[in-house]
Amino acid sequence: MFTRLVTKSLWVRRERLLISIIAVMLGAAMVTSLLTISLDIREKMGKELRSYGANLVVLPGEGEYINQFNATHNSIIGSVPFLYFKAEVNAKKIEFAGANLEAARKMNPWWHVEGLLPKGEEVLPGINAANKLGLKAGDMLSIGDKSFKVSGILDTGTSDDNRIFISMETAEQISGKSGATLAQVSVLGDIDDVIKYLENKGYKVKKIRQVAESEKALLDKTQLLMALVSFFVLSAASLSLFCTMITSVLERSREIGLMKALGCGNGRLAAIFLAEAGVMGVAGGILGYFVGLLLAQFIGMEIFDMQVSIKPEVFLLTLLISILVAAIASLLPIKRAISIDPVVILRGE
Amino acid sequence: MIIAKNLVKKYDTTCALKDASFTIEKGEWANIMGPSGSGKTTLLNLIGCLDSPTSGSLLVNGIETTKLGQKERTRFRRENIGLVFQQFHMIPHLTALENVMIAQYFHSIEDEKEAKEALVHVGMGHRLHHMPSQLSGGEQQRVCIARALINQPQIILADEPTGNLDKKNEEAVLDIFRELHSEGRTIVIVTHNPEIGEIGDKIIQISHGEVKY
Repeated sequence: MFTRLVTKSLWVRRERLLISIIAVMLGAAMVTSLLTISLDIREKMGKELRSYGANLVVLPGEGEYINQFNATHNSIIGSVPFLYFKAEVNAKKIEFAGANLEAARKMNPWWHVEGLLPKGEEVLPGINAANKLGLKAGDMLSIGDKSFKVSGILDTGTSDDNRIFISMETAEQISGKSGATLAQVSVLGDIDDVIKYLENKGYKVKKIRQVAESEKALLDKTQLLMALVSFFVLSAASLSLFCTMITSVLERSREIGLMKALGCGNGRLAAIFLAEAGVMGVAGGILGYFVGLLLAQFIGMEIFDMQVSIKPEVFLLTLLISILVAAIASLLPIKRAISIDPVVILRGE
Repeated sequence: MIIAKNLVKKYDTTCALKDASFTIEKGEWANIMGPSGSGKTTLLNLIGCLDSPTSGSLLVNGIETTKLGQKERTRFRRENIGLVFQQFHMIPHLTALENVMIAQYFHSIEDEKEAKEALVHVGMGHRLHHMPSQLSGGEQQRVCIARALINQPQIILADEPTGNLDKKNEEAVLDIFRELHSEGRTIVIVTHNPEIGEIGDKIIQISHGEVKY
């Protein structure tokens, strides 16, 4: 009977029910996306930070190039100098990066090479550069009057994808420059001591982690913004639910009075209204979860360039919050329902 | 058995019931009669534990109901009293059968078979799954009587039960009350109708809140 009472009562007020479900859905969607972004992207960002081989970038102190990068500090476990320059390929300006690519790959373990690392007269374009130039492994590429074979395609998920990688010797030959634009340095131990050491040697030093940390700061800000939006959307959903419930109680005061006259206790009456609110909470929560996942995916891709994964705990939390919002919103209407005097029924008011 | 002693009910400064004292024996049919605004419904509300008096004593089935709190009054009502209203009062989105079963649900557990039998008993076996809006006034009142009887209450309280019915339906409803009376139930009816007054065992006449009995 309880189920019949609740479902039939909701069915006769289905338009209003739908509006409330949509309101809860919007709130739940914000909560889902907030939780997914918070848990998933933070976790992935942490993993990415840990996977960074290099944690310092060394730049020339004076002049444009580091002629001979020479650093022998106990905490430095590896270094790779890079020579960056631009050259025209098929009438398009492309950035080249020359380096010891075996060493560079070790230092950047997330590099994914489809094919082989280049040797001698070979090049390794990043995936974006390859797409731009219509290149695939095995193709030939002309730079100036020289031809190079594409040994493979590099996918890093970073701005390196826009570059063409070549050996340091080839880079020096093509650019006519000698030395390195920068050096990536991998430090294990006291990073500040290494920075001091390198600065004393006349280099400029930047922490790579600062870049990642600025992304973390962006994540923190995005989270704060989403938390605020979630709060306001949930408040609005709660208000909408409150309006639906209070209108329902006012419209049904005769019905409530009758139920009380027939012996319905306050607990049972509260349970009926809580169940009605619960249906709105659960339905809105489930729908909101799926909408929220889409939103999280969009935010993940657009802002952090990362795909988010589905987390079951987010579903449970979203559902719990939606039900909680529904329960809180129905407290006053339930109090009002309980206060209805069954005498009104006999008075015919 | 219902024993009222010096019952007073005041609403702010208005005294709806003044020192009402009367006795209704078990199995008796008592009609509460009097002009509009005389306090008939107030008295019925007090007997039905829908309201509590300002002062006085009211023993219903041996229980001093004036001492009961709101929760106890609700429990007492669902276990001892069957209510029939002038305006029928059915839950509009429930069928006739469900409107009867709801009283079972509030009392203990619902029993569809028993609810159907109760409706058949009042001549509504062919309208079990009709919504209130699909029933005539007489049919709705018969559903309400079935609902009032479903938990086997000792006392049936009815407020103008035939007030909104035509002659034919009035007779049908009164027949049901006669049958209940013959089964030994205590019946208290608030009515303007002198014909009903003649049927009962006792008339409690009320005027300006004063019982003349």
